[in-house]
Amino acid sequence: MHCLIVDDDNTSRKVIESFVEQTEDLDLAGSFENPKEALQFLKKNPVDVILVDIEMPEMNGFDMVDSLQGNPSVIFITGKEKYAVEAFDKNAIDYLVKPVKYDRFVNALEKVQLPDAVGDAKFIFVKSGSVLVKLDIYDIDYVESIGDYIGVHVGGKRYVVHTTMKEAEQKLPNDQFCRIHRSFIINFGRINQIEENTVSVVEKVLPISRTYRKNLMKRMNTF
Amino acid sequence: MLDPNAPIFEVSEEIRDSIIEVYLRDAGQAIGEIEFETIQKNHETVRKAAHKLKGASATLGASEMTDLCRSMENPLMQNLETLKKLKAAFESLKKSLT
Repeated sequence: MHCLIVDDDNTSRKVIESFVEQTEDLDLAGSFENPKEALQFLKKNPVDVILVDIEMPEMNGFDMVDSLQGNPSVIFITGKEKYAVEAFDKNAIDYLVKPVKYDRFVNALEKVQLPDAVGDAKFIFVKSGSVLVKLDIYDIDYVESIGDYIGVHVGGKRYVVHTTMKEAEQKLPNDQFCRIHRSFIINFGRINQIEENTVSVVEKVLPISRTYRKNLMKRMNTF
Repeated sequence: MLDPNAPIFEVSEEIRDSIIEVYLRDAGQAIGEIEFETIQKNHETVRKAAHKLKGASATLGASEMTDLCRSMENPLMQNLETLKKLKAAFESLKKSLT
């Protein structure tokens, strides 16, 4: 598992680097004082998990996470408890308050779920009633959250599956799919039009939340 | 002087020494910044610098420094008296570590 550390405090960063070094199956892909430099690095070097501070001078940890491409797991490591709610709103898998002890650090990493080997997968099976239906991943128009289930929309049909949006996001290739809202993941190829706060996917108009809009726009090929 | 339960004691001795060196350098700079900004009454800048130093101090297990930085995060405590205590705590810590 590859990780990246972002913290403007050298002492904390070096201790976490050392923790990474002594943890089996964990490699340090990079360690940055500056979130903007970390984002540049991540464009060419995707990682599985990002360990990021929140209060940093040039860009805070939340803004950095909003700008992430791909879907790495995020663990916030910070000096204050007050950001916890916002951190989990950003889909953080854990929130560590400094000083961070090694066993707590390992405990957080155990929550990282590596995506199944979807890199070259072209198909995904969804359970429809008592049968498993084979779907071409690229035929999926969009995915919506329905409580404890998700709806996978393909050519006007909806398959309801018992899973989470987070898991769906991990299973869908991030070069083709993008989260636009807490409740929606869309296929780029199915976008017809984007307005201020909505996107038309096939014939459906879906909301874009402020949190995900920046990331969506960054990934669009625009003039 | 350092809390033996601090994270710094969970890394190898060699790495610990290098981290202490980094801490002393950064803390010296941070205290200089805190002093300047306290005199200028730039409360938010003091808060940010104190917050960062608090995290580093807690990681190191320097409890007195951690507590004083926490005080300096509070605009009502950003005064020359707290600053004096912070500087004294740092000098004492430095002496014990070098």
